Amino acid sequence: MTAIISSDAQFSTDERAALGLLSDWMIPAGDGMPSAADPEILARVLSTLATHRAVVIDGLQKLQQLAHDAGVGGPLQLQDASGVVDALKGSHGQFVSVLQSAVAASYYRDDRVLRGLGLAARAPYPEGNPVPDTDWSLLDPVRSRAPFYRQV
Amino acid sequence: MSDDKVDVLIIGAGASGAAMAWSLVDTRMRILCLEQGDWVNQSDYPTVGRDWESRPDFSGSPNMRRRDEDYPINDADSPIKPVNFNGVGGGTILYMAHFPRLHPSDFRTRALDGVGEDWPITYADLEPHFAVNDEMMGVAGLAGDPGVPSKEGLMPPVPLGVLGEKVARGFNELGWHWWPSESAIATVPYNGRDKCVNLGPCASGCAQGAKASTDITYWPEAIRRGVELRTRCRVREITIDERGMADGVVYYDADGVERSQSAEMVIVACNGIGTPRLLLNSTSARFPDGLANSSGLVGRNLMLHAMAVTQGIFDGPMEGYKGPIGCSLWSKEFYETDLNRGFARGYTMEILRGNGPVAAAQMGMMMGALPWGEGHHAAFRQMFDKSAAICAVCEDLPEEHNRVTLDPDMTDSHGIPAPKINYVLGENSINMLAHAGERSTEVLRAAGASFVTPTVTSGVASGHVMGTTRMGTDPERSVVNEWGRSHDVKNLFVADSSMFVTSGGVNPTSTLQALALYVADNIKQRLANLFD
Repeated sequence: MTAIISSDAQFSTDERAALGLLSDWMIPAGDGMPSAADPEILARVLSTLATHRAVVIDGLQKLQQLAHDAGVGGPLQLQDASGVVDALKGSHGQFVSVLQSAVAASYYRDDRVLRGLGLAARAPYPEGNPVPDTDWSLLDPVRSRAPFYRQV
Repeated sequence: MSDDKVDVLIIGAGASGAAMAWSLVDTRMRILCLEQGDWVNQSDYPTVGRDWESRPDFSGSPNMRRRDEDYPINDADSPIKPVNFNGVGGGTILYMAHFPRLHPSDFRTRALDGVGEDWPITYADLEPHFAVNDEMMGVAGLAGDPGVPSKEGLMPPVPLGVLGEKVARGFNELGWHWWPSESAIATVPYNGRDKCVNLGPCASGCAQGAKASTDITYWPEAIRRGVELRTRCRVREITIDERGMADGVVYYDADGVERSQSAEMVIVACNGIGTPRLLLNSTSARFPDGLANSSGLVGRNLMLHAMAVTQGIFDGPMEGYKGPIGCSLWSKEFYETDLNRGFARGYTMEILRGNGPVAAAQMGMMMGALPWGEGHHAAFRQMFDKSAAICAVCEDLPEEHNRVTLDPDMTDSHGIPAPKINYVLGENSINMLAHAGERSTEVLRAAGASFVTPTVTSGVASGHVMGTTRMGTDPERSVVNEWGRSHDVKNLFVADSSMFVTSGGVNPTSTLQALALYVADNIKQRLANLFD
């Protein structure tokens, strides 16, 4: 079980579960990659969302209402993921935007995900990235052109 | 800490304040600079950590960054969102280090094209100062560009990489101009700075120290030669004496204690938003509408550069996340006026490298190109590292209704009224943006893009803030004179992009620093009768 860091505690168990559901809907496991609801990734998502608590709670209340409208006991019983997401995007765009940003930031820095994409799982500094020297003969057509900025 | 009177008080330690301080030290005057932010430790930059793509404390937007030393900007009434950084180095901490100069024609838009206003100075007046600034900052590029005046002393250009070469071939296919961008990036060891190792996201700061931010270029030299720089000191207002001359400032120190500092002369270098904000906050019985504002132009003529961003999706890897994101190549094909295009003046096409995985995913989802659910992984693999973007930096003409005022409600952490921006795109800009989007699409298709996204022109961020205390010889049509001194207050100077009369179609840092050096040079030459 993943340790709940302090900012996660700003969300209740039900809220964390609902955010996990949405994260999984957004990026499910597949193609050799983990789900965004993977405990390690979700912990980062929750930590990020803690700074947007009011927007998140508002969005989750809408999710609860959608579950009620669908006649199920709660968000975790919702089946029509795309319909729910469309409804959220329509009425709670800011919540969706914040959630997408947090999930993307948490997911695409994960070692397993980066390696799955063929990328190095490291910070850019200090190694940097190799970029080959440019063959500047590519510029030959431009070099032959006379100066064309306006002389004043 | 001493509150003894100083000869020169500079407010702001960014791109222009640093250049000004470094130059004026020649006078042996006692120079003090007050900076509301702090030094940035290079080991704190995002690229040293695994969360390098998601550090809000290094966001360009002060409204997202929300550091204690930031002030909020009410930008709700502007389609372009200003970005900045408050600290030693100012905007150069987070800029992309694109380092073009304004063109000679930019200083004569009224005479040549009947739009905007003519500057009271010319490109030739600034040319020696451009050269000094290039040497201090260190500029990489390639001599011989037929699209701009020649220059010397460049370091080798930043390599184009796969992405740049592919787009360059697109320009060649169309027979259009392109050239490697001039960049304030050390491509070889330069004045104690390490060479660039292609970390990628220059816009969150350079942990390598290859990018020329003024905290590692001008400031070490200026301080070594005797300039005093006090950080975490936020100026609330400039004060005046009974003669209407500036006599100092009131500021809050790092502990939040209100202090005053007297000075023989005051130089404001807080950028195109911070400078008018400070002047408008400096009211008195003599200057009820703000200091130096008898023309009513303080805050007006705000120019932000309209920008058209167009993205192409290619079939193969572009390696776009490798290398300085903003510095690849530029095109001046559409820079100079051709009225057959349906607008006056023009734009630079700047080719941007690609994003890292987090930014690519965030942007993909925001634009609806990256779905939720089952198709997510395949869509991400199809789009990541397959894109190239062109940002057309369009000349933004001065219009008085585009302005900075004081927000009636919003304040910074010291309770000082925050700036509010009202900005609308003019017809000339709208036509130029449309043209730029179409031409960018052509280039990307010629380069082999299999798909080109619709051009984005709204919601774009810009650190190019200009024109809000413009220079001129007529006190009714300008705020400062032809060498940066306030028309109204003879010992008050401006030394930043607020002085720009027109915006050109290029990133402003090189020109605003040359302008600061030009003002400093004038001060040095006129010391005997500076306040007459």
